[in-house]
Order: sequence, then C-alpha cells, then structure tokens
Amino acid sequence: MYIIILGAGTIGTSIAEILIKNQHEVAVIDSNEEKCKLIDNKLGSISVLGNISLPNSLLNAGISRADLFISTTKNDAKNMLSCQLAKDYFKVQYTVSITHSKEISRLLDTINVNYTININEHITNELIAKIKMLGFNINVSN
Amino acid sequence: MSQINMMAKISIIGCGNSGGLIAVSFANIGYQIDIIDINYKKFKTLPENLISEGYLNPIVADATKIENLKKVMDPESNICIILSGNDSNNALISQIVKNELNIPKVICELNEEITSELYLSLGFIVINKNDLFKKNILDLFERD
Repeated sequence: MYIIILGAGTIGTSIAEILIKNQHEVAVIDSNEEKCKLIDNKLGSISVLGNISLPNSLLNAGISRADLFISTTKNDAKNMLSCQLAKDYFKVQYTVSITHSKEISRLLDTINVNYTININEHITNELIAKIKMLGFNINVSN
Repeated sequence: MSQINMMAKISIIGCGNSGGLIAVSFANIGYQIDIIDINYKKFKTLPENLISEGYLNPIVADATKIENLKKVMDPESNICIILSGNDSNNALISQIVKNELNIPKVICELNEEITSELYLSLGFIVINKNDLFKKNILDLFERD
C-alpha cells in the first residue's frame, strides 16, 4: 500500500517507521526542512517538503495514487483541510487523523474522515487508568 | 449583484485588511456587523463612531475553537464571511459555521486553486484573491 503521512513530528515519524518495516511504501510531508532531513536520515528518502496550505505538496507526494492518508500535525485546521483534500479532491480511499478536541473529532466525523483519534482524550484516559492501577478510586462518569 | 436584505445579520471572522475593510463598508451603509478576531489589537483600526453607534460589534475570540465560536456567534446570523488570512483556518471555520452553527450563507476566502475548487463543490461561496487579481490584470490587458 502507498501511505502518505502529514507531519514529520514524533507521531508521524513513529508511524512511518512501523509502516516501512511492514513493507508499505511511505511518504511524509512536513513544512520544516530540518524535520524532513531528520526523517530522511533515519528512514531513507521519504520526505516531501511542503506546507499543507499549498495543496501542491500533496501532488508532489503522489497523492493521486495513495491508498491511505494520515494527518498527524499539531494544528487541527491543517489536519482537517488535508484530510478533506485527500478524500474529496484526490479521492484517496482512506483517511485517518489525530485531533486535539472532541468537537473537532465530531466535525471530522461529519466530513467522513474514516477514523479520528483525539489524542488529548486518549492521554487523559490512559493517565486515569494508570492512576486507578495505583489504587485510587476514580469514577470517570462524574 | 443580488440585493442583500438590509435586515441581514452579517458576521465577519478576521479583522485584518480585508475583514476590517468589509466590516466598515457594510457598517457605513447601515448594516449591523459582528466582527470576530483572536487579537483585540486588530480592532484599533475600526472607526470609534461605528462601534459606539452599534453598527460594529467587535468580539475577541479564537474562531477555530468550536465552543468559543458557539458562545460568541449570533445564531441569527444569515451570512458569515471568513477572512482569517490563512486557508486552513478559513476552511476549518467554514466547516464549523456550516455544520455546527447552521449559518445559511458562508463566504470564505481561500487562495489556493485546488482548495477553492473543492470548497466551491462543497457548496461554499469562495473568494480567491489570487484569482480576482489575475482576472483584473487580464481585463486591463484586454482593454488595451
């Protein structure tokens, strides 16, 4: 499968590494030249320098033949627009995005992004689970 | 150009050069305009008299946050014009205004060709500054 990842941060880089190990073809788009260099040194020449506000960077990454698009930036506006371009304009079959709030996750659901992961909610839940394991009695529904 | 109902309530998001200019032009001819920006300093360019007379209502809020926008935006707004100066923020705000606040007419600035094309097809009214500029220049040449 050909998979395009937006964002060469911690999350983007880890996913890219796992996907490459699983024999998938991967490209990672980032607007930061340093981050592109870092990921190229680590994983081979897979980076595409470009800003999502410029959809040409999606074209440069070969979006029209991608099977999956994953957006991992810190900016939910960029996550939303890139998924929407990938899905509705470039007809990529599957789109997945991280978000930073439940409202944005709901919005991405309404525009039919396949999966959204609200990382703040995820981390909160993980933390609560771990605190519970320490023996604290916490009722989340309160 | 079709007439805009004088009773229309217009909200403008972004008080930069374009947003401020449009807000003031509409307020000058009698519309009541809500203008939203994350940075209160942007409102300094708005004429005091239009604010004190109630034609311009400046609101400080981060429009990319759904809950903030729900709090400050008049649900009776008929038209929302989005001019935050950044394509991805404008796209996100358009989706919020359309899907979460159900504002009937959403006008949104998108300067990238592909993005504007997509949003046109999604039913938004799109203003592409680069396109307008290009058309104006071509018109000038054709006139000669």
